[in-house]
Amino acid sequence: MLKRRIIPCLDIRDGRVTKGIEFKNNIDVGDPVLLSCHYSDHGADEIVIYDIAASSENRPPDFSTIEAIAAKSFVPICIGGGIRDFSDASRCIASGAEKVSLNSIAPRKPELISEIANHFGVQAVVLSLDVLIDESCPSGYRLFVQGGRTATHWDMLSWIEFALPLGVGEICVNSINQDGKRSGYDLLLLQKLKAHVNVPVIMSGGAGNALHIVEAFKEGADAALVASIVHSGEITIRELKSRCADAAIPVRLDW
Amino acid sequence: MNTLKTVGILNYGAGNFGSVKRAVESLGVSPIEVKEPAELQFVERLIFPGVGSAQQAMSELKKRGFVEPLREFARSGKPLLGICVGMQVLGDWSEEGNTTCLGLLPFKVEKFNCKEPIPHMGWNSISWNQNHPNFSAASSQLAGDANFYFVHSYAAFINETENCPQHILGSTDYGPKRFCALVSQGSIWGAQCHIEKSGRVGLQLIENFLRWERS
Repeated sequence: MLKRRIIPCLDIRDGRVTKGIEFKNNIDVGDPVLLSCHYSDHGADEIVIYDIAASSENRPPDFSTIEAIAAKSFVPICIGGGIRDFSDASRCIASGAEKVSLNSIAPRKPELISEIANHFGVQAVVLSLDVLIDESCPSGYRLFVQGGRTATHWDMLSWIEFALPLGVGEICVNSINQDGKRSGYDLLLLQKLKAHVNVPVIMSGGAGNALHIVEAFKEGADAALVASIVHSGEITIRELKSRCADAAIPVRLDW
Repeated sequence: MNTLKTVGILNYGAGNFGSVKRAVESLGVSPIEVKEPAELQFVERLIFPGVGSAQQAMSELKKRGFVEPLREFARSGKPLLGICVGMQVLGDWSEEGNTTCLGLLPFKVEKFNCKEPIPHMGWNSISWNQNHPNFSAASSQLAGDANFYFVHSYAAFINETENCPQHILGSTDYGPKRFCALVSQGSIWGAQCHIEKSGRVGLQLIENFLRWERS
């Protein structure tokens, strides 16, 4: 049986893993290569690396860090932040990533989705969405870019309906309202997405304890992105997965 | 890891060459990058990576003159391991682009036709065929319920009404479908899953292939 995935997310700034609350007030968490290696050896089903300053500094992600991580982490790696064109995406994959995550660039340059998907396959393209609750949008959520700082004209579901057929293998949705608050994922957001898409949905933003992750899986999330909850060391990925297994969620427990 | 044999990894532009190389290196083996058919003569054991489409892989192999040399390599009894698309093209035919493949193993590859999301992506377990002659060698030091990482839209499906073909070393279920996760016949091995990205258990399976000797 296909397992639900728990994916630690490493936000990188100035060569260090960092974590913010509602996308602000970042604190230092550690070295990206050491942390990736640790998580890949301790049950991470995948690792997501976001170079959070790359996009606003108009530079590609740090390829040497990707290479160093890939040399020691033998689970799939997804890179986001700073991918501006096909060449940046190719270099991420050549450096050892399996997937690239497109966020700010996608509404500006949707053809990039097709370019990457046509060459590397749709499984290599993760569409990352930062959304904020907005009652004026038909779906109730508005798409934001630039690390959640800039509103777009896109309603979340209109954007997905437009972008998915271009070649998206997975959707990773992050609730700006919930990010770093550790009060649980936005389950209404998850329900809306699952009702509209037939690609895996990675839920992000707000996990504060194991129960939050179990809830997201019960609502149909294919994967859960975790950051603060595991970076703080108060709970391990193994403990999270044991709790999921206790709740009859299929997870990978051997590694 | 102590291997007396030279290990080669075929580099024909497949996206996961680097990942396979890093995985092999992590086992303490320094592989040779095989970029031209003539280089196959220096190799005693070959890993054949693959990502993307079977059609694209076969077209790259043809362009680089690898098709016949690879068949000869396999016929000579030197161990060969295909990974993902590298496994798919070991078979006779793929529906993906109606592609004639290498014909080294008797299977055909078809697209998933089910309501589950495609590609089949993520960690899934393998049911081992314990009667397979290479079962013990392949599964050494692996738990029976170990999970491996899969990403694919096409597969060599197993028809339940027929007898289990001899080359099936392990099978995996996705929705109502059962397909070949691991194949092996003599010295020819194939893994549909990305064993280079399946954590420690994947590395163990690669090591088991590298240690395998014809009995």
